[in-house]
Amino acid sequence: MTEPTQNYLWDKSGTTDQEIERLESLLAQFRSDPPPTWIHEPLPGRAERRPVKRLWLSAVFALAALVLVSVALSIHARFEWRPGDPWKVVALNGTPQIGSSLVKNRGQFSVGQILVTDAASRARIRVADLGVVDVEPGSRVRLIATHAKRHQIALDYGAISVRMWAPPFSLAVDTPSASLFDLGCAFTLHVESGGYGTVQVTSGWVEFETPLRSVIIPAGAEAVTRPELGPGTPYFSDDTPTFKTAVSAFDSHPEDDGARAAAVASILANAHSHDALTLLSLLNQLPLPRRAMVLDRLAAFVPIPDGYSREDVLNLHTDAMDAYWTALHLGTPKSWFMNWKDVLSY
Amino acid sequence: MRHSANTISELSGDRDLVRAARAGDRVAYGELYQRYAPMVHGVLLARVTPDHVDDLLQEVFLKAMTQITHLREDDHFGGWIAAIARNRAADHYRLTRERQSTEDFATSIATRGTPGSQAEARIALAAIQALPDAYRETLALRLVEGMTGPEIANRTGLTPESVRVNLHRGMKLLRERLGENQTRLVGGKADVNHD
Repeated sequence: MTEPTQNYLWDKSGTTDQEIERLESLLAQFRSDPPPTWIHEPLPGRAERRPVKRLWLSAVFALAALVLVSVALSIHARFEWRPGDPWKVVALNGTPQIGSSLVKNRGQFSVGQILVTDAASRARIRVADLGVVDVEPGSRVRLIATHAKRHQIALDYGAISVRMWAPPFSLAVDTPSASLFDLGCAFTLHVESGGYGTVQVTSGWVEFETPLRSVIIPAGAEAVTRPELGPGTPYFSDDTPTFKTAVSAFDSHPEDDGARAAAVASILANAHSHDALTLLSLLNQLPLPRRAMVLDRLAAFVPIPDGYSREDVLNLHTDAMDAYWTALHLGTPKSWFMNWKDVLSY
Repeated sequence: MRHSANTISELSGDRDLVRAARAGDRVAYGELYQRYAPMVHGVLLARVTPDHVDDLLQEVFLKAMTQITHLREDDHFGGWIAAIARNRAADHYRLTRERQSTEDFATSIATRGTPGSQAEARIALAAIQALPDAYRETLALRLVEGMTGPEIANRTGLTPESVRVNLHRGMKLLRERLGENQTRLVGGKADVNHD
């Protein structure tokens, strides 16, 4: 038999249970009464959707996902090379030679081997899965190392044209007077038998480096590296011969103050707005008292970046110099990824 | 009998509302929210502190809205969303470790000097939260949300008999626990006064 107070607990009928009533009164402060309003955007209505359209959409999304996964896997595979694996070589003209073997059509280039082209031959080397090196006639190339993500060759003499589609520093090229690192780029490198080298950059950036000096050369520019002196001042390929001669004179006489002063005067006299690259590089190579006139000329082309003073630049403060480099709008080394069409040509 | 009539009517109404909501009818979903928010509120309040209940309530209905196409039986909306609420409360507890034991909760309230009825209310709520699952949820719906046994059965999908048993056994246990707490708290205060 049900007690009257149990009815109250069940459906609030019958005799009131004092203790339950008191608890109800106490706990009412926690009640959701009235409930907060439900505010939300319209539901994605299933009835409003067209099944056929949904099917198509699903198929399109599935296909897109498949393509993305394939591209991701492909890119991953491109950037992961099994260390020590040989590279592929194709003879473009004549009969290049790898070691003692002649490459009549296709061949393999292994670590430690030397590839030589005579005056009538050319070869194309596939740099892992990351790019190509075209070896021009009369050249000698050595394959020094292949790692998972870093590769190293040497150009003893001759010329190579390189196009990489890879993150910066994937390929290093040793020359007799400096090492070159690709920063996601395309470039041509000439090395004379005496050890002089010239790099002309057509895409991205390249870094020329010795233990004592490092120079970044952006697309459209070039730089010379000299035996015992290392990389010189970068300048744009379309500069006038007078300007190039002045830059060469400056780089060739690091110990001759008189010759350098004359070279700087000629550089400043012949500089144009796009020579800000050269002027900024000169600042780094001149003693403090002689930086002012270079800065004056530079600032006439590209103002000192906001937030930095003339003194900051004259004293070569790192942040100020970085800001100045950025102000030249020479792109970024990571723009390699934007050259995705390159991948189709390998 | 009145409850039964309402139940049949509401069941039929729920079914239509669920179908409409599944088709994207925001008004229909708003009506479901109005009907079921108190029940979900009670389910949550039986498990988490009051401060978090309103936020979790919104999360539960948001999740239900995005998953309503997965609800197989249109007249089981109540049991389905109650399950979502229980799971959400469990997740919340795992993430925050917020729930205190009844003794800790009650003692902390008493020693903070919370005004009388508010402290009593929190102690009572803590005691409900400390009950076994089946009892605390049913009692929260009855004592906090003010729902009757038949309404609880209707909203949660439990059978009326289960609700009745849970209410009576849970209330018996709650009376015992509250009596113990009352004694302990009074004793604690006495000790403090002696100091």
